[in-house]
Amino acid sequence: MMNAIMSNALTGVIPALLLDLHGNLLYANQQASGWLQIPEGEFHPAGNITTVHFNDVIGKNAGVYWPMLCHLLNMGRPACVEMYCHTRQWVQWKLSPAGDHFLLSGTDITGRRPAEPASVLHAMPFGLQHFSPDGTHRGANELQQQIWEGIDPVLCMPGYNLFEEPVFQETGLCELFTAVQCNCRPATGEILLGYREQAINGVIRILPAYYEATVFAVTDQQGSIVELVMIMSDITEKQLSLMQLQKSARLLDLIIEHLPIGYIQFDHFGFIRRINQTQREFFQYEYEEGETPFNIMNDPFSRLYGLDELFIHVMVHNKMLRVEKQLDFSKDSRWTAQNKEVWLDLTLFPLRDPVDQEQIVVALVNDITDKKLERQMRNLLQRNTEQLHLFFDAVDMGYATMEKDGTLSFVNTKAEEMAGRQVLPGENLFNVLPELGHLSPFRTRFSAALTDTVSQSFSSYFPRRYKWYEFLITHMSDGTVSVFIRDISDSRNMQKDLFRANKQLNKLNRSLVNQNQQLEDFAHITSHNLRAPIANLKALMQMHNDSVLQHEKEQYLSLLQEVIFKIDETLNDLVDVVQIRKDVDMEREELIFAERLQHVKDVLFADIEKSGIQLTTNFEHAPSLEFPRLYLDSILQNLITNAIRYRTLEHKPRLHLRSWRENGRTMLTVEDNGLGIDMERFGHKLFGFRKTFHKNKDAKGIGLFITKTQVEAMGGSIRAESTPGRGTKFIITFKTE
Amino acid sequence: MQLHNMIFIVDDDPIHQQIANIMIKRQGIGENVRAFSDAQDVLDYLRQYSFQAEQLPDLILLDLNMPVMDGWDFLNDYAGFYKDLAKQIGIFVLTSSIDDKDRKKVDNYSFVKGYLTKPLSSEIITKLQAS
Repeated sequence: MMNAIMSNALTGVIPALLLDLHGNLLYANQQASGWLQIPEGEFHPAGNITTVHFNDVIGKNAGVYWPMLCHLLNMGRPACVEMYCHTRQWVQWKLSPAGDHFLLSGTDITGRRPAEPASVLHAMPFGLQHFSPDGTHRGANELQQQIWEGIDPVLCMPGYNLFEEPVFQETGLCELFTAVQCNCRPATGEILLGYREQAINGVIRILPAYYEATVFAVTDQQGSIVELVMIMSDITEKQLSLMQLQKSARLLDLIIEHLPIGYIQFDHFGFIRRINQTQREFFQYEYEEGETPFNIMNDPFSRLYGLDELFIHVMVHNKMLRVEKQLDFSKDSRWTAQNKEVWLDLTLFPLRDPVDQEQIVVALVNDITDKKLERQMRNLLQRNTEQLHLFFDAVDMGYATMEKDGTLSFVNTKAEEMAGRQVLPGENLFNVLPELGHLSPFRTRFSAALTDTVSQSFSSYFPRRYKWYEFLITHMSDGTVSVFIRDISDSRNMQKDLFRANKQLNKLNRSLVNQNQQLEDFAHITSHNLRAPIANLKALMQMHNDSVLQHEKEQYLSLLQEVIFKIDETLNDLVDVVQIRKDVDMEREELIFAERLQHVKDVLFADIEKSGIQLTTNFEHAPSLEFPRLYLDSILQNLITNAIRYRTLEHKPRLHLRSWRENGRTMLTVEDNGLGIDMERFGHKLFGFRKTFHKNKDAKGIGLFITKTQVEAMGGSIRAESTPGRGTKFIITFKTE
Repeated sequence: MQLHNMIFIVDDDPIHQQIANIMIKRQGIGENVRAFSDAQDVLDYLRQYSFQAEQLPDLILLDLNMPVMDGWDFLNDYAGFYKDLAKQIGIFVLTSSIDDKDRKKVDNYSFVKGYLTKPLSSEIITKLQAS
């Protein structure tokens, strides 16, 4: 029966549902089943295990449940409920009693609903979703549906309740709704809804989906919530870029913190705002909370070294500045425990603070003390080497350094002078100077120095240069060879000169000794030969003065006269001698012995005749002599006179004169057969002044003294050999010029 | 005051001999004064009369610088025999040499009583007298 009713009533174009008094579905015609996505036809509650209720298919979606609808009907008010269905149609269901059952007839009211708000909502660039006050999905705009489709399509199914979804519990979406339910005020939250697959350049990446969700409640006049609305916008990109930014900032932060060079950030006023780890360690300073930070503009230490000016310079010119500064940190005790002098490489550059938009300054600090010291050391070393080379150039000694094979690395100026040309480093010694090469003494010593590692010192003559060089070859510990060369030609010549000078000096010394002897002789002469007669004079004068007798006085006066005569004689002899000694530069001339002898013989003619002495000569080996004529005549005369005076009467007196040359000198002997002299007793007196040793009354002891003086004045010598009773031989050595 | 019987003057300078002779006689310290020009003659005399004290002189005034035999030769010879003489003779060196070397050399002869330098004066004669 019921079927028949329904068939009649419902087979028309009106979509219709038949329900029992409890709201259970009994029948749905074709059109109604299409809208509600339920099977068409009869529902048998008794037989069916699953009953379908109004609340499930409509009430939940529309937010108006069965009791409410019945209530409206009983009150005589139109019992209608509007519902948005999946066909994107708005359907109004109207309840009307039909005997023991209820009939729900549906009308498409899409056209009747205010078209404008709907389209606005649909066109909104946000996702929009309506929920019943208990959180059941009522409807969503297209964007929202797309959002859900990207995450989980279930989420915009009709009747879906937000609070039943565990995912939302976790994301915090539920909390937003709860908050709104509690205090009716809108709540906003950023929510990671889930993850999305995204194909970028053929690679599928899973990206997080961030949304900003705003939930607010729609209330009726009584203030009770009739609907919850959620607006959702995709903030994934913003979120991702923010995260990226944070990541970059964190990375930058880390980089700065762990930068191996010091980093100091000053603010606009010069206060230190940040110091990285390296710089903290360098300063050995720990910032304490609440402490006034270091200010580069007014710190005494900073001003002492002009750091404030650097800061101003960077601020004013808005340009990077890089300087090397030498700072003595021992002058600051507050900010650093570094207690020494350091060299810093400072780079200061201006930055615009991204937040305050103020200009700030960042300083990069690099400790280059070691580098600086190293550079200084290197400079010093280089200067030392240069000085050493300068020194070697300055010394008057050749100096060259070379490898073992003779490759030169340094040659000083003097050595170049010796080599006779400029020598460039890298040239080979043995090519530059082939005379030092194979088989030369230098090469031999060079090899020896290398094998023995003992310095070789030697001198070598270079005939082509007329030079003597002294060498010192040293094998250095670094494997190179140093050669010192000294030109000793001059010193060799000097040695010769010295030898010659020494010889002359010896001669001079001998001559001085000789002159000294003569002086002593002269003192002796004065003492004996002059003092004696003067003593007599004195005594006689005294006696004369003391006497009163006239005849005595006359006797003394005659004695005085005699003494005076003798003194005069002695003085004259001495004057002669002094004259001879003074005239050492007496002019010499070429004298023929025979001629001079003849002259003397003429002078002594009477004596010779009287004594009957026989003169013989042999001048053929040295017929002539360079000598003062006066002296030679005097010498000959004295010797002949002596021979006559000291002749023996036992046999005929004879005198033989002979001359010859010996060792470049002219010798003359004068030999007689007279009385002779006891040389042992009187030898030392023979040539003395006024020394007589014969009882002969004519002996004055002056002749041989004069002879000796004349010979010696001309650089010669005289000596005598004699045997008493046999004769005397005088031997004269003449010095020839 | 001791009177010297015999005084010998040994000097090759005849003027000195005369001066000494006159001075000694004037001073009256000796009557018998003999002068010798050759020292050898004196040595010969001494040797001849070595045992006859009355013939030996009391005093000898000896010059150093003489020809042939000089004062040194005399002293050397005399040193060899003076101890055998019958009489102790006082010998004085009387020389014109003021050389210190000579004075020191004379000191080596212990028997020489003094070194006197010329000229002879009355003071020196008095000294001789005192000896």
